[in-house]
Amino acid sequence: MSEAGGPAPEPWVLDVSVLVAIVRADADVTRLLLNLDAQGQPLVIPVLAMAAASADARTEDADIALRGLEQLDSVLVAPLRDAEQAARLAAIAAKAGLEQTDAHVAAVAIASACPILTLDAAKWRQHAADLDEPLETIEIDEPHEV
Amino acid sequence: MTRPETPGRASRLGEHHKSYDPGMSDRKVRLTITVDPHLSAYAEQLVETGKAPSVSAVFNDALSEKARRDRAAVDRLKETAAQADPERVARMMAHVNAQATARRKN
Repeated sequence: MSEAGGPAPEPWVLDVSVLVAIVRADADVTRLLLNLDAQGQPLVIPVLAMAAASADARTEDADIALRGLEQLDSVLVAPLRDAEQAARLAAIAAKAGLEQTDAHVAAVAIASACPILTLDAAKWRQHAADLDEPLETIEIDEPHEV
Repeated sequence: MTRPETPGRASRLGEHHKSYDPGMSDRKVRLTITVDPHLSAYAEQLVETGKAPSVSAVFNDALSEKARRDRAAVDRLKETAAQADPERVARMMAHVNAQATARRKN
C-alpha cells in the first residue's frame, strides 16, 4: 500500500541512458526524476547501470549526482547479489545480445515485472523480441504534435 | 536500539531521511551497533592518542560526515534541476504518466 492508502505504484527500473543524463547534469531529466520521487514513484537503479554511468563521466560531480540520486526517498539500488543472479544476467546478455550493464537492467525489470524507464525505448524493443519474458518500457520523451 | 528492518519497498527507505533532524543532535541516544574489528580498533586508537574524546564520538562524527555528504549530494541534484525548462519537463512528465496510466489499464 502507498502512504496515501491506495495500492503502491509499480517500481520503474532506470536504465543507463537515464543515469548518463543525470551524470551529465541534464537539468530536465534531473527535474523529471525529482518530480517522480516527489509523487512517490518507486525507482530502481541496477548497480551495474550506476557503474556504467559513473564510467561514462569519470568525474567527481558525476559520482556526487549518483550519490544524490541514491538518497532520494523513492529510489532503491538493486545489487547483483549472488551466483544465481549473475548466471541469469549472463543468460539474458547472451540471448538478447546485450551489454552486461543493460542485461542487469533487463534482469531486474523481468524479475520484478516492472517497466524500464529510458530515453531510448527503440533500443529495448529491438532486444525484447529475443527474450522469452516480456520487456516493457516507459520512455522519457516529449509527445509529438499531431 | 533495535528497530526491525521493514522488508523491501523503496518508498519506505525515505522514513530514515524524513525523520532525521540535525536539531536533535544535542540529546544523545544510546544504541548498540556491530562494527568491523579494524574500525573498532581504529576508533579506540584515536581515543588512546587523544585525537577523539570517546569511541562514541568517533562514530558520531563519522555518521555526521556521511549525513552531510548525502545532503550535499541531494542539494547538488536540486541545483541542477533548478536549471530545467519547466514547460518541457511538464510535457515529459505528462508523457511518462500517460504511459504509466496506459499500463495500468492493460
